[in-house]
Amino acid sequence: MFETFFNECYSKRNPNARLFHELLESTSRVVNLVEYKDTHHSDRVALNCLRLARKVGISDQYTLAQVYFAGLLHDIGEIGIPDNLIYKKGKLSEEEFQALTTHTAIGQQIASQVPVLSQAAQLILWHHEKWDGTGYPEGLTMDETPMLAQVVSLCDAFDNIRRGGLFSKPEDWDKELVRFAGIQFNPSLVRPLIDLTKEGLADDTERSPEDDEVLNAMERQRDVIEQLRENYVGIIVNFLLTLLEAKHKDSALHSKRVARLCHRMGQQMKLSEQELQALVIAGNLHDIGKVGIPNSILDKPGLLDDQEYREVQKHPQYASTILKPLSGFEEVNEAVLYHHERWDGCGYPEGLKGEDIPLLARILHLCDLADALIHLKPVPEHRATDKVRYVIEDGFGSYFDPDLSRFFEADASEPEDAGDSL
Amino acid sequence: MHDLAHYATFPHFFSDTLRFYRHTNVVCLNTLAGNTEQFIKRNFRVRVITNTVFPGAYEYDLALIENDRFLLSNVDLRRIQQLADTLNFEASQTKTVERNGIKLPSGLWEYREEIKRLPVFDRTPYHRATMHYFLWQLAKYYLLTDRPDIPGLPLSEAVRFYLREVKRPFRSNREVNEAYRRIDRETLGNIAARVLIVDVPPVSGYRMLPPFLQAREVMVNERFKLSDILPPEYFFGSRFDSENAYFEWMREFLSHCQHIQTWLLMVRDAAIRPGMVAMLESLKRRSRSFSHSIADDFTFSYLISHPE
Repeated sequence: MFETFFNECYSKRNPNARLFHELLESTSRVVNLVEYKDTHHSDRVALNCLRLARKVGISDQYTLAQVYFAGLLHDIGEIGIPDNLIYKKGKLSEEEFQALTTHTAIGQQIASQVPVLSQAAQLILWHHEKWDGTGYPEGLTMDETPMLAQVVSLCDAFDNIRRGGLFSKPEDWDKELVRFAGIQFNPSLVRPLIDLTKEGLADDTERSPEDDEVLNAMERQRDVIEQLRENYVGIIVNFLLTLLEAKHKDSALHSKRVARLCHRMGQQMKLSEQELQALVIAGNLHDIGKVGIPNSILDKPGLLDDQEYREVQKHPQYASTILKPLSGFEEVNEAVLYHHERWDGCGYPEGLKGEDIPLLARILHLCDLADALIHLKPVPEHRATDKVRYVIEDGFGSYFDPDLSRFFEADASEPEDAGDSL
Repeated sequence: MHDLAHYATFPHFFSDTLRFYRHTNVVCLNTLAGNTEQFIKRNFRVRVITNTVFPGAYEYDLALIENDRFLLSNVDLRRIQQLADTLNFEASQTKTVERNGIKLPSGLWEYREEIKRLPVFDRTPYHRATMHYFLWQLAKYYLLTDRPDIPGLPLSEAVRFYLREVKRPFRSNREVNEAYRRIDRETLGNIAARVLIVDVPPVSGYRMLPPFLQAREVMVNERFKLSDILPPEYFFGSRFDSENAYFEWMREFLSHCQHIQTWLLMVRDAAIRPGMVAMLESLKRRSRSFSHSIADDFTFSYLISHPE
């Protein structure tokens, strides 16, 4: 899958690309976007997990890297939970609590899209298990929960205690940890964590050289790199699409359809195989920036107000932020960043005009809009392809590159939901 | 004794199988009632019917699975808290007493006796079961925090915390769930269910329980003896002299469940898996095996079986 793209953009252009680090950096940016309160909670939990695991005697670098990733991605499943539930003040109803508990399984699903993170995915599943067996999702008691998952659970809870608002005092943190030892946490992990706080090592968001060494070791592990090389681009596309699907299913389906439309149009235009694959990847990922937009805006019925519209307009930049660390994805990143630029210069984010807009972005813009028009909800008559053709054809020269008109087929975007485009 | 992880069940891994079924009956046969039935009750709109053999495990099922209505009143909660305030002790300064293999602070044993004298204990079987669940939570807490560097909470504080937990220990799934103890074959044969879940114990049976499960039994019956509950070749978890005897007993028992379409058998011991598959074939059922690695040295495996 996407072999030509990988061979051209990685094996030839960037043979020394640090695949694992690129993945890490990109993932880290996704997490920061998803946590749009800018708290760096996951960054801190990840580092604390790594350091606590090391402190309790785990030295295997692969295991340490897994626990780091589990800490980083532990709340990624919250992307699939409505915002009003996550930030709800006061008591949750039974149904609301039930919905909230699914975030661990959603997180596991998302992380398991990356084969080298399979162990981390399981730790994410269990990070809300409690030592006394009253946690979720499985209600495991004591050592039934694997020790690394206990580490993630403790570090997550500790960071929540630590940032407990105005009422959280550093001198009380230890007391809270001790209070819940034997209830929520494994008592034998609490003392090492308290020691870490005393050493001042539990409040960082930046990795120390020692922490970096763990991740560098992953870059040297042959089986890890071979696993990544086997299907690196497919893994990233799958991971990000699953994330988008959890956040907003309609956007993920739309992305898959756009990728298909792009593929057909690229074939008509006789693009090279590498360009074609880049276009398909861009089609799949063009809306990935929406992971940083609240669902209340994405699902709002009717027109958006100015502020909401400005927020939605940020999604190409958000997408670019996520893709930037991926050194081989330059072309894709460009297409995604500029896929809302208009031929007449009235688009966003930069207001580029005419041929200043990269070709792939121009094609993507056309396919994106065509699919959006065909599948527009809730106006069924817009599905008629001749009407779409009329609207699109009217847009050549203003919205779209006029040269693309001869390659465009309005009926190429199937009205039914497209399946997996990969 | 087996490693603790050998008792654990990880129902999340077979939840995809259960997602096919809604508004149907699921029968869980296990010896050590635990997280599986609770997971199913919480996550699926199905009626859960459980069976176990241990009194403590049965009380757990009664409180958390069958009970859907009976709650402790505020008066009960206040009385339970008052009692704890009266008998309060500091975990680090009290002496421990061992009873039936369970070492707990002497004050907690005393508290248990007093609690059992409260009227709430005899109100309904559900109230009694909820109180047993509450006592078990406390026992687990003091059992697990027996570490000098982390002093446990005083009794009154631990009670305050766990009373919040048992105010509503169950999560309703709006179905009429049932808990059985030592279900007979005829009843089993009459239950109209679509899914049967069996936690398959080792051939050699359970010789002793992990401390936290032993504590559950001791909270219900101080003189609990595993061998009294599980005589040889009696039920799941009993000792069988040979694999043949084990499979023969199981074959006979499961033949009463042939009307249940999907069987899900958690088989942790890889050595008996081929025998299980052969036994299922003799019942004219085909089966598929699934395994999930939990830790480096532990894999959670189960078989899904359907009629041929």
